[in-house]
Amino acid sequence: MPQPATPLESAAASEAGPTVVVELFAGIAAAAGCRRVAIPWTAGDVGALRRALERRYPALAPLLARSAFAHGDRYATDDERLAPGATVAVIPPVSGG
Amino acid sequence: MAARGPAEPIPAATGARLHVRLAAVPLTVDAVRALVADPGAGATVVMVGSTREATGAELTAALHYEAHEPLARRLLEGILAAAAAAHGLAAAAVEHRLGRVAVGEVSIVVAVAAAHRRAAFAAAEWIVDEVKRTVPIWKCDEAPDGSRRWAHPGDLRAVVAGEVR
Repeated sequence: MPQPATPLESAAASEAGPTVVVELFAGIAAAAGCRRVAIPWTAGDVGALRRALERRYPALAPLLARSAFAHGDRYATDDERLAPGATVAVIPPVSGG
Repeated sequence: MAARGPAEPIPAATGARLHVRLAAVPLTVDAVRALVADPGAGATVVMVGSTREATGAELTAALHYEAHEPLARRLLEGILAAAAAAHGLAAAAVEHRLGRVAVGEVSIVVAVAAAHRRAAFAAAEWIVDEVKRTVPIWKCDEAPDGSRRWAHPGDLRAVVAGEVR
């Protein structure tokens, strides 16, 4: 497969407090070197999570800016609130077909 | 608040038979065509997408596909339902490969059956356009030297934001 097989970034296991788990795909996962990352989280919306990811992965900021987010099996807008413990996915621009 | 993604709202049932599949094994075009066979259909259009050897000067050995499967399945179902409602289809099916798809192998099959050909052509083209525009499936281009590059064209954030109503 094109990405490393690392199932969970080490930071995910070491975060002591509440987090949101972010699933990564395709070029985002390849660049980050992992498929899941835990972001410390008390409260906030998808836009805040977007900014937190940009801080953690500055090199990915341009791609993140063109990416959507999914919560469950739905796309989420930047104003959707995320509770601690939520799992969301970064959906970079698609290229199927 | 949950966002309404592209291809929504899913229209009320039209009675059309719909089929969606994401598969890590080779696709069989005839099998997908058979799924939309219908006595009410005077026209069946089947679109087969496959890995192309070259894009401009860039050579491709294979494409590697991955998907956010729950979201991709739900959106594909919504796209087929919308196409069926808009074009009066008797049946519609889409199958998309995951994993490595070598040059010449099939990556996507879209099949639609309608009473008349114009509706079938229009529906098939719209379905493929929507898949390419909104469904979370990605391709990674593997060059003959083994190097790989993910394709992330355009601005999906803007696409999604523009369709949330």
